[in-house]
Amino acid sequence: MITENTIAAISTPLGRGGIAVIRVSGKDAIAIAERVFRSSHGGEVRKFPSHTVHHGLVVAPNSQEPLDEVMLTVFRAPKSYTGEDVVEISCHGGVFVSQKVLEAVLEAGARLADPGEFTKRAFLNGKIDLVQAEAVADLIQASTERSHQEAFQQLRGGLSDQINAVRNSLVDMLALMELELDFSQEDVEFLNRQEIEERLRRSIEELDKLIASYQRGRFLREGAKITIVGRPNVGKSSLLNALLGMERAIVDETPGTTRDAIETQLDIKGVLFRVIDTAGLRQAKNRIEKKGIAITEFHIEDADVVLFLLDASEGVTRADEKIWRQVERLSQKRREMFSAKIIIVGNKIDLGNQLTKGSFDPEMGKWPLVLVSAKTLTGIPQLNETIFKAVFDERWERGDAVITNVRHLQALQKARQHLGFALETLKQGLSTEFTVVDIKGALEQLGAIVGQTTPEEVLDRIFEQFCIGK
Amino acid sequence: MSKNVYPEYEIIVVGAGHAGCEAALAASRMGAKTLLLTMNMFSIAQMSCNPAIGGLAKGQLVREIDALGGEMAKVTDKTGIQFRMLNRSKGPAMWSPRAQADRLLYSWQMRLALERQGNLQVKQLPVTGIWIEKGRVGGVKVQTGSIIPAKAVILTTGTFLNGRIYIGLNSFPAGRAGEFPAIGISEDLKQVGFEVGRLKTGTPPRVDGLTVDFERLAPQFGDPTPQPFSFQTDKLEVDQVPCYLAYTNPETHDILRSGLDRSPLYTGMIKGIGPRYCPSIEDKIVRFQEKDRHQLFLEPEGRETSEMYVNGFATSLPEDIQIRAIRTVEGLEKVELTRLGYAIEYDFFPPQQLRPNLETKLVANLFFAGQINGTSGYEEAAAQGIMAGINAVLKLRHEEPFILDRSEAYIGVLIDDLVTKGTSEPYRMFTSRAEYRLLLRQDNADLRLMEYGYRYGLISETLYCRLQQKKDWIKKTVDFLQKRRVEPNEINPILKSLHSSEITNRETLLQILKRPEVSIWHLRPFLPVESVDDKLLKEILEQVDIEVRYAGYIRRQEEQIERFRQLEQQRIPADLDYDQVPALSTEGREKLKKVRPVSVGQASRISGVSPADISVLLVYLARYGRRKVAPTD
Repeated sequence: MITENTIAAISTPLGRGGIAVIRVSGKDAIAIAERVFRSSHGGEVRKFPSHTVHHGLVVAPNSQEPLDEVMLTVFRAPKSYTGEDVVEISCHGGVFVSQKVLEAVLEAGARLADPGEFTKRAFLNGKIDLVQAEAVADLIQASTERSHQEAFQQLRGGLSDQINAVRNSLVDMLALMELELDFSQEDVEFLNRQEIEERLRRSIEELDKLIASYQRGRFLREGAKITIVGRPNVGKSSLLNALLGMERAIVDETPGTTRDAIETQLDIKGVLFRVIDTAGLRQAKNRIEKKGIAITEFHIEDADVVLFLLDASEGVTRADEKIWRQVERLSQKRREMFSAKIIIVGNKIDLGNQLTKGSFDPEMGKWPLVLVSAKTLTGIPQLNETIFKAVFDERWERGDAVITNVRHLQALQKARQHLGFALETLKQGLSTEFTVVDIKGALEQLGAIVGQTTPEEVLDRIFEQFCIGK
Repeated sequence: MSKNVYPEYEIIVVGAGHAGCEAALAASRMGAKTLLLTMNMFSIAQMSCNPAIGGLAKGQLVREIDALGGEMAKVTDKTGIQFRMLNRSKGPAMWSPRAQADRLLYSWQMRLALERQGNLQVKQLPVTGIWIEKGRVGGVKVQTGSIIPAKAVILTTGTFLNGRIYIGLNSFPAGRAGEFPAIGISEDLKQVGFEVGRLKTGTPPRVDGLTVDFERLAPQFGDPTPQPFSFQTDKLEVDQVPCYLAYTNPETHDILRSGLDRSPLYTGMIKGIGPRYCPSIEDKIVRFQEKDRHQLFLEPEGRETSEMYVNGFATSLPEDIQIRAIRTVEGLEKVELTRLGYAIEYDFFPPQQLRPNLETKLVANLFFAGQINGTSGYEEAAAQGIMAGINAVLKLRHEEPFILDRSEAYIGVLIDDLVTKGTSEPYRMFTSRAEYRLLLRQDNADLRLMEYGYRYGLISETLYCRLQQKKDWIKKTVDFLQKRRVEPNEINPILKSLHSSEITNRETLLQILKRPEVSIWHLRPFLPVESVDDKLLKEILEQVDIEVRYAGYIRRQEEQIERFRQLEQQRIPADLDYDQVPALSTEGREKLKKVRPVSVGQASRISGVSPADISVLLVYLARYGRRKVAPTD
């Protein structure tokens, strides 16, 4: 039975429904859950009895960054869907959140499940009967085709060209290295170490660029997340409406009206953004407000762009300063890891403007300031422009390739890791065959996206380029 | 046809080349009554091409054959006239032994080994057909009209099947220069449904060394301390003979080019596909026009003879061109050709028609080994020969076949490649074909394979005990290095003499050994190895040194092997009906039906079988198992 790997996938339809379920199955499922789950009652996953549900947070295993508030269910083997240890994590249903939780689980050691793999395991472990099983093979073939099609769609925009270019240059390099190993007796010139090192570095750079594009790709597909923050009644909901050009949020003069975060989609220059209007950050007086504040904090941590809203006619008040410090603290991780941005928005300039950059706290002064009136719509186009630029810097062109598929991202990251090892080996001055181990490792990873490299292909290149043989 | 002139043999081997000799020796040594048939008793184990054994990847193969109890390495040690370890500047996995051997003596020594072998009879009798009855082999037909009955037949026909030699526009039937081709075997096999193909190979002219001006050529000598090929050879005491380096020049190329209109290659007379790694000289100058010189090696044909082999000058151009062209090479201006270069075209049977035990899928108890399977090279042939010999006996005894996997041996890579992927040009081994080559080294072939040789009775009790002793000491020594901490005053004098930084705190010997400038021999005074002879001690310490120094890489390859084995261990029943497997892709189904892989791992290496097909297959196999349909064979 091939049950060595622990697999994971989002097992609910993407982006639809209020809750998404991330399913983890395999012998390390519990251990992996342990690495990403912080129970609110302080328990350890490995001690949870089978078929019990637990509330807590999912955190990124390396950074410990909290990702979402979730319910986690443990099913111990063999009494689970697949017959293996299974952990199911129910998180908020947004595409972004569920994807982040999945990434965390993968980072903690799971492998992304192949299409139909849970069902396949269920069958192999005798959890579904023969009649059901008849359909499994069709399912695997069909969903593989579908995922191939999807992957193909995602490979448009020159992405496959770019990955192929990296693959090609690696195969070329590999051919030259194998030439030195398998044909050292021939009268041909071999690559020197410096050339290999240089070529390796170039490939690493290319991979890094592709990996970085994942973030941008995610923005394009799922929309970058904009969170509007500000003290109560500073006009957050009005701003949202102004951005949308329509009435959407409930606007009320009573502070604290917007209790739950509302996610709205915004189109700027044909690109999707997701805007979250939050409850005000202030001392909560009751349970409902308390919950609202927790949610607000999460959305600040999770935002790609924070719109920090001030009342321009009043200037920066002490309440604003207090909130600013929280915004700064909460968004810090995301700024460092994913270059999230903050935009200072001065609202209500129709009532006057007390804001000057010079009067800002120096940390606040680093961020762009846009003056608007949500009421008269003054400055809204400028704000749109600033948001767009914050997410897609000026170097970006719409035709540029981006990675959008987490499977591709994983493969590229692993390939990158192999090339890093290869560079290490090279620097240690070891013989070429040791470097080759990782070049082949990287090619195998890229092969999962653009097709495997066989030894015959490498030999073909050697014979094409060099006069071999006596 | 007469059927009662000859008694029934258990195994008949057809052809006494490198594959046939190993096959016959292995079968008879395992106790099977064996007959080896050759067309010519004077060309047993003939080196038809260059007079050398081993080389990159091939040297590893020879060591593996030796570890299994084969003969090639021993004969090479007895008849070698120059020994070199190639790739010494690389890591241990790339080291490859190579030897120049005396062509005549090599053949003679192998003949003696055959003659002295019990259970084995050698006869000079051309085979003209294969007797097949009801899908099973029954014996061979010979030129005299007799049929020699046998329970199993191993065909190792080399370039002889409908062989045809080309020199310029002249062509004639031949199995090798000066020998008859084998006619009839291909026809019998085609009749029962075998697919047959044509391959081509070539060989350069030989020259009279007395007409070579060696003063103007650069000599290439053997290693000062030659290392034996065989694990069973204690020491080589040999007076070594040099090879010589020469180069073609633009004038040579002009003359060669002027003969292209009479080239059987370029006029389309030759249809068979030749090896790209061993092109003819005319091929080199056409494909690589920018190169204004090509390297040639003059290799001695033997210690006594003056004849030399011109490695690098394989050609089928007309004789006048051969003579004129070679005389433009510096040092060869007055050279006399003793034999002309030629190309030879021959029948082969695409090897996807074989099971991994080298038995044909179509005819039971019929085995193929060597060039008949589309390979090239003495070592590749011998490797298949010994495997076919062992497997033929196992088949007759109704025992499990002997299959080496890709992580165990180059032999495993070779046979898996052949039966899984087939080949369209003469297949030669390269180290790059082996996924786990860091572990498939010439130095550890005994540790990897000798146990199997012993199991099949091809390795002696004494040798086996020595192997166990070696394994024990390797393990003990590595453990010791891990545990033994040395004081600065114990080790610093040694470190100082090696210009290695001295230690201030206690360190394990293992840590010390990991330094590039320290070798295991420097630590010899600390090591507990005792009561072993010098040769064994050297072997033990060599293994320890490699294991410690490359531990990280070795561990990674071992992890890869573990993953590889998961799929390899999923067996596919021999009678699986792929048409009953739902949802296979059309191409995948076709290929699976053709190759009939024995494991899911093998299936995954067939080109055209997708990962989704493999998933479908796994599911189907699990269901198949649950229905308790007994797999056959």
